[in-house]
Amino acid sequence: MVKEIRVTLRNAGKIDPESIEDYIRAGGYLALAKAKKTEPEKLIDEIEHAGQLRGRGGAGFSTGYKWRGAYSTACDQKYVICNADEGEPGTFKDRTIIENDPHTILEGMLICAYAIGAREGFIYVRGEYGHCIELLKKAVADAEAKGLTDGVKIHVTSGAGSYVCGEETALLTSLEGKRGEPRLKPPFPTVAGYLGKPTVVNNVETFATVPVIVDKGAEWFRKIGDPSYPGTKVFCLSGDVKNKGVYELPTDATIDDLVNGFGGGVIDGHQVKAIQMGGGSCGFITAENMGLALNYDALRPAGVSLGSGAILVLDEEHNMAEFVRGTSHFFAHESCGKCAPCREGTSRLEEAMDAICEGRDVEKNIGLIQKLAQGMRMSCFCPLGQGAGNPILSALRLFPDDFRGKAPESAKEDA
Amino acid sequence: MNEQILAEKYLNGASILDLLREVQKADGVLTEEGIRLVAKVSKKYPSEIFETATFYSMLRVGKKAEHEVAVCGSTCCDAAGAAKILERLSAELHIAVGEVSEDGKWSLTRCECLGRCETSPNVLFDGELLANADADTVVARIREARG
Repeated sequence: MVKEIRVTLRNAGKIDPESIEDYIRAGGYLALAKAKKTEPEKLIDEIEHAGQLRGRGGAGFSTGYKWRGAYSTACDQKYVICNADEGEPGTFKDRTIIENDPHTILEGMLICAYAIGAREGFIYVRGEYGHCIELLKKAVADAEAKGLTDGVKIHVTSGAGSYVCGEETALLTSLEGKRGEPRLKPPFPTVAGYLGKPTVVNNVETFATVPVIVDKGAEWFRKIGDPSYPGTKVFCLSGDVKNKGVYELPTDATIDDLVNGFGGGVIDGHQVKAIQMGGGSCGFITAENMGLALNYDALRPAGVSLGSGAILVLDEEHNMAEFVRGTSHFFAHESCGKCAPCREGTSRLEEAMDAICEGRDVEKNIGLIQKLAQGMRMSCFCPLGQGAGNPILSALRLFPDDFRGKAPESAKEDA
Repeated sequence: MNEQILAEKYLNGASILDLLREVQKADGVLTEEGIRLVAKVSKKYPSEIFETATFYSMLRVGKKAEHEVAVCGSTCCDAAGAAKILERLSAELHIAVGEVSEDGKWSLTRCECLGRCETSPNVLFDGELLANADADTVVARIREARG
């Protein structure tokens, strides 16, 4: 079985998260000093090409490519922003990282600020994480007092309960004090982000990984995990398993390693029915695909993604139609209302799922969902709407009987 | 809420959401005065601030209950039986989900993911996290609060 490799969570449990001395004693802020002796262009190259670091927030976009974009856009003011608006259902890895090691995130941000030439930054933390906000504020104040921030001002600000604000352009709008609605790309945030200035937005886990790459070198980092997505990934295991929690594994570990190895398998007397891969907006796999490795390329043939790293295990007692009905309620509630296909579409998906679960016009509503989800994927403004139908379609494809079984007996005879 | 303190926070990089949460913490809810105050400090129109305030589910414009019970209804908690808990609490409090009781004492909401999925189902009782919650425990807490 694979071993847990702790890169992002290297200090978890070993240091006091409130103590900057502890972090420094563990080698903290050495990477920042090393980075500052490197030319920004060379530093970005290290992250982009040598390290091939890809974002850990869900989209898996090249981190160095983003940095390069902001670096090469000339402007008097640039910003570095840490996306700590961890809202994807089933995801609690960023919380774990902040609670254990807030300074590594700050160090990653300061390295980025140096690389792109930013003098100011924000950590946008979801409103539900009050404890994390306090920890980060203390970390920033302590680093400032030690002169480690070198004049770069990092602010810790709070969200207020909106899922869509995890999308980077919606996060920027929210940070500007407006309704958290996404913006059209291009221009990308690296060209025109916060207040229209070049901005890098990276996830907590991404920033937490940066100091290790700078410190130990890109070659070292690239030897870990799968070559297409090197390094480790922090996974959040929840649902019907024995040991729920956060595990950091190399990206060539399999779903089986995580669920049966680290998770201790499904609760006694039950079997895996479905595993939702990547969070509430993602699709499912069944037990036969548990041999797949936990990286984007390996998962693609099964029609799923790595997403945020949330892995939710469901046993045979769940009816999948009932389960995705809950998901449809979530999206109808969280749609920001900016574009009609999502605003109306998520409500119609919710209605259709309610109807199916109550046994009303089951076949008709299944057809409606299939068409609607396809239309939303093509026409919604941002990933929230584009992906709202994903879990429903996936459940429908894998477990059609859970949906069709909702029809009353008389209707089945008619069909 | 002191205008000067708020203005200072804004100058020091606090966002408008931070200010709104600050005011809500002091007043319990966002009243018209609270919204006007944030507008003044941030040099925006009150309508703009109102627009922002009504968008976010953690900001509340209007009436506040004395006790607040929120059940996480997101995927993991849903899979762990959150709907059944909500049903029990709704019957216990005689209010529907999303309502405030007529005497203003209780509110029951279905809230978004708390990021505590490893201890689902999760319930917030007056802001206190009840992890691995079951309906009986929450009902007992409600009865205890009633005295």
